[in-house]
Amino acid sequence: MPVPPKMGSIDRIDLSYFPGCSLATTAKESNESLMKVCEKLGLNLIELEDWNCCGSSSAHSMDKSLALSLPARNLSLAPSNRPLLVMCPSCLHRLQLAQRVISENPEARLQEETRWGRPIDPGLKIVHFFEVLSGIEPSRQEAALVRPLRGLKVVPYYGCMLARPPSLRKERNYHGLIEKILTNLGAESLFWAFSARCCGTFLSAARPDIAVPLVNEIIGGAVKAGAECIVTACAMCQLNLEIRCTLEERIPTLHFSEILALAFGAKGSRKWFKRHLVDPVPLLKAKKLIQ
Amino acid sequence: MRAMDYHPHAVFRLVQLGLRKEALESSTIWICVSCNTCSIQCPAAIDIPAIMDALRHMAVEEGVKIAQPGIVKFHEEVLGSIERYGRTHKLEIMMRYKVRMRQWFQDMDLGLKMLSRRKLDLTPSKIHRVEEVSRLFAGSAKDGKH
Repeated sequence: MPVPPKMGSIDRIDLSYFPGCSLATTAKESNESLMKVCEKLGLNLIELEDWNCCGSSSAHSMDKSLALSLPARNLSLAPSNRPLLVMCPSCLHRLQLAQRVISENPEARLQEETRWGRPIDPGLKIVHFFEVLSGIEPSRQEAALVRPLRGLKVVPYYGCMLARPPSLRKERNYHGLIEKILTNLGAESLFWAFSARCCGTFLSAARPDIAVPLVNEIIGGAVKAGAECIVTACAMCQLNLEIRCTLEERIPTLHFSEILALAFGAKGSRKWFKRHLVDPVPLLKAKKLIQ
Repeated sequence: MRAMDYHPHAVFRLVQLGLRKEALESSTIWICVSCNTCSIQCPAAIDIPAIMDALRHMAVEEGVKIAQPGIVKFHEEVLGSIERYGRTHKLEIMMRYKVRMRQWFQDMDLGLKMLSRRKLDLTPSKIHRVEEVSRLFAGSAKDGKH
């Protein structure tokens, strides 16, 4: 655990922050709510200066050298004295995989360091928001709780986040974290069959005909389980679940950071909810979580 | 709906049997999104998405008949966006992709809805030193052969 926040002892913890393309553009609401959550928990996010796209699905699918060099540039930009926080599960894997190549292959390291003209620290801690969150004592989360999520029935949706390639098998896993934290904050987390079913990622854009049945199965499963909303860890999953569902009965999908920010009493939540394609406002009003 | 012509394990069998053409021309290698659902279940810890990547690279390099040319076009548009801006500009990627696919009106209502909710930005989020990133693309597999 790289970030041990202790109540009272440290006021603010500095972290470098890699937003990734989704949070910087289509999912600004996830980004803004994450900022609010971090503020409430005493985490100081310092955006990585001039970060670039990690290469997404397309770089590794098409070109091996791009799949290394694109994330390597970001690694070369990260100061080694503080962990690099990543919110997108997919960006996290791309950055971790590039770091693995660099730490195991001295030639690749030299090549990337020469290319970017900066040293790359193979020991840089790259952490997902969940890893930071899991290191924060429940008492600190409870102290930040302003608006208990009482009675809100949620299903946790991890998508492919819990599945890693074999080389990252020993990295930390976050199974159960959404359930644990939301239950702690007063919500009711339900069991269902689709918490780790892939949302279809880029096929939602390239082949909507393939993504639609996948998404319908996921949303249908959530409705059948009795959920009032889906809480997701990934901004792309959230978008896909919202835009590719063709069922009549659909429920809102909230990013984990949005629901945490709501519980922690952050201001500005209405602005985020306006950006959803499946409006969560009626549900949140009925639950008296917003006015 | 079955988008993969072979299940992932069947693609591996094709590879083991040396059925190169069948493996490289399969639809599966392009439909696979590398979600790793299969690799965490594989008792031999085979990095299945990494092998799918290798097969995709071989398919492009060897110029075989690509089973899912649309998906290749999509990847090319994503990489083109990274080359131009250092980041992905989703609206432009989608518009260019739909034009290349001649799907002029598919998802147009969705796009308008997303614009009205400010889910899509009209202008790209661009990095300052974009030439650093653009340089990487000289001679890469991206430049549209398909």
